[in-house]
Amino acid sequence: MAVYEVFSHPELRRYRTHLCSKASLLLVLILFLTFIPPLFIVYRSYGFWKKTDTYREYPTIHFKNELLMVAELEGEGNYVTYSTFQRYNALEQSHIRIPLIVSREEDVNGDGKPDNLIFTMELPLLDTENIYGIRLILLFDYQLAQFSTLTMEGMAYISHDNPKSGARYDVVGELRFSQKEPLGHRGVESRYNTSIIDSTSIYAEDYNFPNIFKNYVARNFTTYLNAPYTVWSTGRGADQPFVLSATINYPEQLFDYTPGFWYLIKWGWVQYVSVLLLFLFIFDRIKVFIYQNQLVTTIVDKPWKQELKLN
Amino acid sequence: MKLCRCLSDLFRNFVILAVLGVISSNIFIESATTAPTNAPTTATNNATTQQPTTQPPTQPPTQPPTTTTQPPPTTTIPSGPRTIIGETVIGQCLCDLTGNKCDINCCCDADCNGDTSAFVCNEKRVVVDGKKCYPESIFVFSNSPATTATESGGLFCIYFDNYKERNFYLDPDFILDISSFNQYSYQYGNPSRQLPEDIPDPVYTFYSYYKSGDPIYIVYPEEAVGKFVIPDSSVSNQCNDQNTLSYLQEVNTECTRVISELNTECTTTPSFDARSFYDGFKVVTTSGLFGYVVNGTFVGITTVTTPPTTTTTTTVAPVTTDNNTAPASSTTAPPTTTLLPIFTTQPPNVNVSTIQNLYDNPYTLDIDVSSLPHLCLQSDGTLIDCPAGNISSPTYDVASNTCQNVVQEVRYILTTDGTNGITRVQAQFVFRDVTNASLPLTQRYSATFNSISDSNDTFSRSGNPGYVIGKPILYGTLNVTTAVIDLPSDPTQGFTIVRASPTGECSTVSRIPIKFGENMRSGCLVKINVASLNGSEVCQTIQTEILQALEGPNSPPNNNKYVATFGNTAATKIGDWVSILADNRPTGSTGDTTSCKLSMGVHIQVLYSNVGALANPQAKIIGVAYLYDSAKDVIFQCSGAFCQNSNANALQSFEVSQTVSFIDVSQPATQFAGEAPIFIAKVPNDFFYPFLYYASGSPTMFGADLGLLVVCAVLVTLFTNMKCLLS
Repeated sequence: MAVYEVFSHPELRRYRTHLCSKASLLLVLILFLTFIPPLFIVYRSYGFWKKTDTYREYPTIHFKNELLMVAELEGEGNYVTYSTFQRYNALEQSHIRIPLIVSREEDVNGDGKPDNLIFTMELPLLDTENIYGIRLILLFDYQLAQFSTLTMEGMAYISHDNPKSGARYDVVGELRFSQKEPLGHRGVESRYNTSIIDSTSIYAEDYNFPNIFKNYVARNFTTYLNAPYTVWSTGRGADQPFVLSATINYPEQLFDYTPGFWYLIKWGWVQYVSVLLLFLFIFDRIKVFIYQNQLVTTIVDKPWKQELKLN
Repeated sequence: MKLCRCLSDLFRNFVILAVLGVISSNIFIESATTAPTNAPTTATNNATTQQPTTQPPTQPPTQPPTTTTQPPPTTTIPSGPRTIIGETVIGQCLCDLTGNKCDINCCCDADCNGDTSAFVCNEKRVVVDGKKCYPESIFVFSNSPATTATESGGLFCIYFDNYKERNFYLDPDFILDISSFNQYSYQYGNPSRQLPEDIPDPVYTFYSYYKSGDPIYIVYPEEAVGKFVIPDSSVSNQCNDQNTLSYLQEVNTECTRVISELNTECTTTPSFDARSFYDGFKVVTTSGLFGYVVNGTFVGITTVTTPPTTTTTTTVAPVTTDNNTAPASSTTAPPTTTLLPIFTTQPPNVNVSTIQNLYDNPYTLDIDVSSLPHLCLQSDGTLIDCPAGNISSPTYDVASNTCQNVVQEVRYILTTDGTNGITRVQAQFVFRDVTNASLPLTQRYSATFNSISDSNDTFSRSGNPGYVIGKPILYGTLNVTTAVIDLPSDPTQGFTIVRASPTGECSTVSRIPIKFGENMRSGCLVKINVASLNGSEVCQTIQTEILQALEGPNSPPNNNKYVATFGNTAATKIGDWVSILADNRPTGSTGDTTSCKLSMGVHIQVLYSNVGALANPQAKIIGVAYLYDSAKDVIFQCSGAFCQNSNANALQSFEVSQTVSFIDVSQPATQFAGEAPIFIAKVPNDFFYPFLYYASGSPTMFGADLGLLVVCAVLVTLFTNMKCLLS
């Protein structure tokens, strides 16, 4: 009859010593070596504290029905312009051309947030006038809610110049968010909920495009129009307006943010413990080797001796 | 402790395995040199003797070819020798590109007779060495013709290579038949291979009829077949005359015609002439007519040499006996036997016996240009009925430099009758006189489809029942005596906002209809002369003018203006109409000799709410209001150079604006909690993400997870109850 192992379980062997002994000292040293070096390893391999992280969110964007438009006409310095700001229109009295602006925001997926803007501007022109370029600023209200509650004013800039006079300009693109610093993980961010174009100003320089752009780019959170697909059509018929049509998508986007305290601790813990386990195992083997072979003197308590005593 | 020991065992095993792996990989390389699995030299021999396959090229092979064991089938060469390359290195002197001439800097060129001392040898020597015994840098940098004896003798150096074939391409045979050619092409080609285009033409039988989206055909007197076109702009605003009109698809297009010389091109431009839009062709009423066209040629009754007597009897017979015609004629006219399908679930659309030729038969129609009055565009933009008479071609009037009778707009009205196709095609033209100033000319084209069963008094709804985005808002005036809403004759000219002319003036004639769901902004310039500002009466007049310009005919003060709540509201159901509110409408104005207090803008706000099922929301207008800008001082602004040369009395323009906003005030569905609430552990909706995700994504993954869960549950139960089991 062959003998086989039915069952097995480990038994505990105890090593005893004084507080002031080599064995105690060694134990303290090993404890130190077990728990501290993993911290350094994890820290030195970078990414121990996740200072920034990303998340996805559908922003809530609304076209504010505010714009500033300049259309370049044939001839040196000829232009017509329009804005939704009365002060600017008063400034540019002799160049004002009032277009028809039609806009509509669609909520395709029914989540209560607009998904795209369909914008059309019909600019009436005399038959003697020809359009060779267009510059247009559209203003948007931009809101985020998931981590930091961000509210700001964003801008989309449409610009095109063409050597042939146009009848129509079609722009298809999306409004994207650009950030210079991570968003907070909570709190209200309304630093940039101010007007990009100061509509109360009566000074011409406040409506100068380069000045507007300089002030806008200085913001930490901005939006921009990413529209590589544009078409400039020529052949405007007599009595026909110049048409600018823009379809601007509001996509879900990836945002950088600064995570909160417990998020940092959670991921720090995960990284530390994974290295610590390895150290615990190695130093456990070392301790077994040292104490088993009595490299430092200890009193060994063997379980079977106790049992013998009992018997 | 047990865990640690276990881990240590694991680690030890891993080290052993790793060492073993390294050793075995070495052994494998050695064995690869000693024991080749296949004999590829015989494989190429097989290829040359294999017969051409008859596999159709449209079926790509099921398994990828392994070139050593199963080379793609090739054919034997009928005659002539061919160079067997095999395992030899070819192309040893790649720079010798000129015959009988010593190529510059080509040291291996035999024409140079070895006199290459002045050359910088630039040829790349190709050294075939798969042994990996030398560092690769030697082959790159050494130009020396002397053989290199340096051996690194690395771990992966192959000392004895008895499988030299792996360093050479297999040399496939010529392909001499198209089927194996196609097979190669499908096996090895990728999507960038350019295939012959194969778009099948539609095939018509006597049983065919137009379906929605099919092109509508026309025939010319010489029996050429074309497609009914409706010009449209494509890549530019200019008209593209090849745009096909599809059956039952209404179109409305606008495009421009660019003409450079009006005096010569006035009469020669076809698109200016109304005749080109209806004359010289007939519309095919049903595509079943093309059952007669086989391989592009017409095979009608005329091709039958001796029509059998049965044919003449069936011409007067009703349509149900048409099937008799086909076999009768098939006995005499062989081509028609292939035309008629055998299955006849319904009678054919085309009575074969009535067709003598493709142009003149009951299944082609002339376009009716006499039933609808043609319109003439006057110089002030209005349309009047043209004087009755024939449609005349454009004529050029030298005195006034005008091209008269030019087509401005073409409206086609097609009447259809189910599977019988088109029963009537009407055309209506709008003519105008064209001068050089009105070039390029913008033309409009439209095609509408009516059913023969339509009654005469059709009207369009703006939704059924909820408003549809982009449709005009129904608007009317309450007639208190009859208690009916009086609707404007043109629904798009009811509820409107102001349109500015190119010079900025407020146009009273052409206003812009308000369409549901579209926010709008418009405006115009009001010109005020400072000299006329002399008191509040003038200001009052100006304010009235501003309001008249902006509100137009929609002026709300008498409270009898109404807007329909739904897109299909009937004019008699007054309860379904909401009155237009007006808030803070300026009634008076004060001012002095330099300024007026004027309200400069009108803002129309429309509140709508979605009603009905959440899955099928219907928009309902619940309120419309006119909001007015608060009155502000309008001061004659005169500053700078503009005023200095006595322009102070000039007209100064002030912008007035009008906006339309739509605001969704949908009330959320009310929620109802039935039972007394028990404690519900609320977790975020992505807390069980992997389980839910896989459950919805692939059922197999979910099954695997379920199995794992069951196993886990059993194990946990066993362990927790171990003590009680043992005791």
